[in-house]
Amino acid sequence: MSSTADTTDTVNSTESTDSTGIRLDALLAASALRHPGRPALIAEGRTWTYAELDSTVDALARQLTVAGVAPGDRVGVYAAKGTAAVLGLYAGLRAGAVVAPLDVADPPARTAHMVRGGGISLLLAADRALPGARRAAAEAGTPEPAEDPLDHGLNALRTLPPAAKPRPLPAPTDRGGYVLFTSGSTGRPKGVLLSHANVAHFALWAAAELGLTEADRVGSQAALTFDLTTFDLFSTAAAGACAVLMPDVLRSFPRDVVGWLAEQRITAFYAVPSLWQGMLEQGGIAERFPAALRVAAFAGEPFAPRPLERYLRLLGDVPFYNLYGPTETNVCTYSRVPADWTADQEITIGRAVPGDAVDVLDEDGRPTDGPGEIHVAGATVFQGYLQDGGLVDPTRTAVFRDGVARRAYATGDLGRIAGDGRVFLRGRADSQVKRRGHRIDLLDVEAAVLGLPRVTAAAVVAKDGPHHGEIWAYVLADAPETELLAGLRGVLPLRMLPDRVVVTGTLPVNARGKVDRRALAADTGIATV
Amino acid sequence: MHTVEDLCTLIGSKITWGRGEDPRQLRPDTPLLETGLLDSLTIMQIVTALDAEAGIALPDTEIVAANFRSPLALWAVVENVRAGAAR
Repeated sequence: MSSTADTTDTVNSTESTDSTGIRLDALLAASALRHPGRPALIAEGRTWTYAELDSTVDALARQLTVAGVAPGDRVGVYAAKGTAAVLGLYAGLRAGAVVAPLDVADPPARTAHMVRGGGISLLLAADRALPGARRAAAEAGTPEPAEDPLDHGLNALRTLPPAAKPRPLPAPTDRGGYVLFTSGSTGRPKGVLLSHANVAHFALWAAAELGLTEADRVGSQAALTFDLTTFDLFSTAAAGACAVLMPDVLRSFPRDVVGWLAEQRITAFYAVPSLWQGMLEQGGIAERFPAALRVAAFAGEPFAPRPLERYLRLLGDVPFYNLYGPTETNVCTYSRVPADWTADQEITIGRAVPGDAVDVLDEDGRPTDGPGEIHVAGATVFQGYLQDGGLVDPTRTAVFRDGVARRAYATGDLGRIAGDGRVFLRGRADSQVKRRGHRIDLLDVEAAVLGLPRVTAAAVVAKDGPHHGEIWAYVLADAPETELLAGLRGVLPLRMLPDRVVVTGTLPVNARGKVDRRALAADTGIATV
Repeated sequence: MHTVEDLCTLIGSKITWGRGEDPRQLRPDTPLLETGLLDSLTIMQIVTALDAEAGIALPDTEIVAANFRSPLALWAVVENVRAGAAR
């Protein structure tokens, strides 16, 4: 190895707590010992103390064990965001399961893909979500799943008979873990498998960096399927703070979110830039700034420079953090945006989180000072994807600029790394785009379009020009746009639906004979033939 | 835009309906938010269409969940905005 002290610091921060043996449910138990009477969770109008939450989780975990859940089993939590979902996640973790938050608004066919791909043998479904859970189980191949009612409005649905359980996952996830599904490039949702330690490392670091204490009230606005909520749940539990769940219906109304932040006296808030910008432009946050807010963070997509500058003026002494990382790496770089930052300056995603190493490699896999692909190694990097019930690890060994060979994840994000270790983002390497904060793989959408009856060819593109930010599907089909959209509604979640479906007689091709996606992206008329 | 039924038609035209769902099932008291019929994009499309097709410009202060719970709730806002404009 040819490492030198000064280059080590550019890719890798060495001061880091050891999170190897830490379990996520133990963060809750530890805070229940330290602060039994303090509020842990506020949801649906009820406040749960740490002692109440922890003992309820304990009892529910025992019920899961009685229902046949063994360590390493994969359990999908199928409940709208709320108390039942939080209890289900924690109880699954305590029972040693690998838990996967699922979205009850997803079409059952998509949930069924997750059940099969993730090897999910049991769904923990809320009473109100039972019909959807049964449909998903049926689509996954279990038409009449065995059902056990549990406490707190939850039900255990067996999606696989005990004999058909997938093989155990390798350590450490044979004793439990956390799965977040993202849009995949093969037309199927991909299950990102994180170990307890992967999530706990991020949670503990973030709680310390943002200075959370037991006096904080952390506002939780994102869906539990979105990695932002690992902060809301587990950083909050680590600090003994209180997680306040925002009602889902408010998420589309920035003005309501602003009012809610004030009414709930939220002190810490982590959200996508789209929501922050909505609160600024339509929500009136400048006139009604939440008085209790003392720390704020964003992640998930770039923040438009001018609104970001306005926020920094509004926030004053309140720190505003830019956190970066694909779901596969939790958060791997961070930057506290300087209070005097202005929109004419470049924005950085910051340096590696302690315990992680980040480098930018060129096409030949060598560290470069120019543009290249961002690679991440270290404590927050996931175990691999769940596919066909098994684990597929896409990481590979890469030698970073300090000469150290590491197990690295290639993010697909393009960027540049400065001499001081700060990383500057430049966009995506492949077909994935961001729309309204959601990562969407255009090929995933295309696969769904091509799966519809009466469709012969399709190209799904992210539009340039006047429709910038929209996703359009150009389709060769003898069916009207409305019918195609209705068909897509049955297989894709709302966030992935194309903004337009254009039925056309022909798709343009480029010199190589491939569909000319660039021309379609730039097309300003609607070329129907 | 003369009646709450006209508003139902406008809202129904902006919702992406699934197979077997019928836009005519939308009634003045149909819950829009709890059932997940409206997402943020649909809400913006309804606000835009109210302005473009009926000349009703909803102020930002009225774009709140309480006003989108049902077509009837939104109709009350439409009538208020009209009364304000007529004054």
